[in-house]
Amino acid sequence: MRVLAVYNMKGGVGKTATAVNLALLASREGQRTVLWDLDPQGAASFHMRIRPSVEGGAKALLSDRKAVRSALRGTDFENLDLLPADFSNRDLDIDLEEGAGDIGRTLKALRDDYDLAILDCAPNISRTAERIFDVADALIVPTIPTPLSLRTLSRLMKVLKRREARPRCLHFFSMVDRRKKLHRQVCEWSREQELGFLEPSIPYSSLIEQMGTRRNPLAAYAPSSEPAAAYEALWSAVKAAVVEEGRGRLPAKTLGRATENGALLGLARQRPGTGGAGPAAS
Amino acid sequence: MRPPDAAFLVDPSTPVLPSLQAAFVTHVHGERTERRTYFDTFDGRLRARRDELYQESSPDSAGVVWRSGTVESRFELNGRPLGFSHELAAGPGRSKLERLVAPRKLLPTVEVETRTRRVDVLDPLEKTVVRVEHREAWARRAGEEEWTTLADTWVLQPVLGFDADLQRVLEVFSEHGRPVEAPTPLVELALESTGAGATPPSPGSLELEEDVPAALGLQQILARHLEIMRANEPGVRADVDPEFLHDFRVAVRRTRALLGQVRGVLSARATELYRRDFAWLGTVTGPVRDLDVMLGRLRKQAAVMEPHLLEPLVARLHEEREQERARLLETLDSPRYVELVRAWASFTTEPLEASALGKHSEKPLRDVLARRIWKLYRKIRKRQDNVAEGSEELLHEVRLDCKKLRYLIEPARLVIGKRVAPTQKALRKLQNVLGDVNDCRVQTATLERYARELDSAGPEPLLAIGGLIERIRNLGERARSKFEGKYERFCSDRTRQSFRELYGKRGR
Repeated sequence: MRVLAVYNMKGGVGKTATAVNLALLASREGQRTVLWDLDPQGAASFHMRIRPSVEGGAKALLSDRKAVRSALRGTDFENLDLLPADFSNRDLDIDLEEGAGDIGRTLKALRDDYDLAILDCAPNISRTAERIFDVADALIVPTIPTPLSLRTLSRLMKVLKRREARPRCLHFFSMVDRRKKLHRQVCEWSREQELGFLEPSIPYSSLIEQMGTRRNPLAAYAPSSEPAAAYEALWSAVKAAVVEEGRGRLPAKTLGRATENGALLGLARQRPGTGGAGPAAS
Repeated sequence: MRPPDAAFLVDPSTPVLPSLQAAFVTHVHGERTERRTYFDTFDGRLRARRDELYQESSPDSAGVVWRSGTVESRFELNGRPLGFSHELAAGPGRSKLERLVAPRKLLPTVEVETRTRRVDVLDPLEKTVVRVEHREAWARRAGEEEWTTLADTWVLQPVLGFDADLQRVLEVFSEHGRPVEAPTPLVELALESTGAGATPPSPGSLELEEDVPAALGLQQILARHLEIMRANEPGVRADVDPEFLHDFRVAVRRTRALLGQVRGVLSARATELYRRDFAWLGTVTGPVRDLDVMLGRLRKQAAVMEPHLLEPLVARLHEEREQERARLLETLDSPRYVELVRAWASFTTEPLEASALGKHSEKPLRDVLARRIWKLYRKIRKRQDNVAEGSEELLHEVRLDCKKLRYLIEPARLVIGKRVAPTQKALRKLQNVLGDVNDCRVQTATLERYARELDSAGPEPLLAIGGLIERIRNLGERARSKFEGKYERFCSDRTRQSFRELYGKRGR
């Protein structure tokens, strides 16, 4: 079973929309997919119309195989199940700290029944995030094209770079508003600087926002819309990078993106808008 | 992990959906209508394997689908109606199908129309908690007008984690329908309800009492062979595929063998005329069969040779076959044949007069057959001593005896049971070699005759025939070289022991 974690330490960048839509696209291809809603806000569960509650709470999921199996819920889509959120997910760090269980153990309980697990992570960089870095084959990192978001991304790279073994980092631009000059400039500059963003980006769209009112993945209610096509392109790029190439986790020394990550670190130091190659100066 | 699907058969007039909608919020999806024509061989080879071969009637799917277990193969028809498997587009799927059904023709059996719709059972959040598939179906025999309504099938597909909702939905269905372990395949339901699934008679499906008296048992076996002849006769007349004539002839041959080999059960006087008539029938149906075998061999050769080189020969064989078929049809319409079938039907089904019975008529058929088999087996063994090793005479004599032996062991299985299988197997191994040697000998002689006749066709076709003769001769020699070994094994003490235990005095 492959594990893809949709992660960003920033909130409001489109993690849940990405996790939910990629999970649906994977399941439609026949992959037995489980979406694990790790965010105590339970937005992914909400989108799937499933009550964000787990008997025994997060602690049970981390330690008890049976609790994992009984918490699973089928979604409205073939091949797609959900491990719902629970408000106790806010205490995941404490649970992990106390050795009450482990994220790896939860995933182990799922691996015989699924081909793919997609983790919708909470926005933080804590012990939970560290464990996710340990177990994930890849991090899918939605990034809004603004200097601040790039800075956050570079911080993540810094953290990953320090690690002995790290997941593949697949960052892409999310909530891109083409009407905004800054968004356009950041996207262009990142391409020029070869910062390793995945080619497809997700546009800012009210259709995506409607997921909250329709309580459905975008691909279910607007399958031929432009943002739905963007998610399809993103899923193809993710697959090409991880699933189909079968790379899984790569050791630090062979991580192909190291150079780009270095470039990002440089960007963070240069601060866009203060001169040099930053987008505001171009 | 998801609980298994639950299927219910429901009478079409039962208002299931209103009951479901009274108890739950539902979302009914659009209907999907499909019409399929299913195909099989006359003897139901695909059905016996639970395979399905069908053609969808929708205009956008002009192909044929073959489902075997979990494997699905699709074939394009290119505007031609489905007939023989070798006419389908070549590929690994076709080769497999050919091995199963060739040389039989694929005939339409039933036509099935289905109307399927999905109903989602929702909870208050409008989340699907149970998926239900409702299938209505109608079937009719291929070529008939009248449709038969099949029972509605409702399949409940649970959604993981919503067991309580599933139980409530199950209660509604339990009130209205009959739960079934696994939904019967649609084609099976259709074949059963239209009567199109009746399998043609076969000798192996006859049921006889273990100690049935010889005359009565023999009568029933002979009656079954007549049934087989009659079942195949329409296919022979219509020239559907070569297997109709083959099966017809095998039934004739089995009849002749039983009349000749099972002695003392029916009086020789009563059966003499029939023996002569069945011998005649065997002879007059032979030429078309020989030509069918030859054409079948040429079809296989065409795959490895330039097909156009064989064209003059194939054309000549077809021409000759047409003439022989005309003679065959005349035979089937002749008073001699009509009278034979009528009289034989009455002989094999009505109580026999005392004058028609032999001295062993009341003995158990089992013992009569066993005695004869044991005697014949010993005779085949003794030929080893009487005829010079490696002589063609030995081979010829053994071949004829083996044929007789086979037609005795086959009915013996009906009264002795599966225990005869090892002796059948031992005999089959020897017969396969003998059959190959004989086929090759007959075919090379026939081809040599055609080569002389086709002298004017030019050098290339003649060379092709020459190559073909050479190939067949090599095959024959290869089979011939195996004969001694197989014959020795058949005569070995071990095989003798198997025969003796079953058919020898102690066995009886």
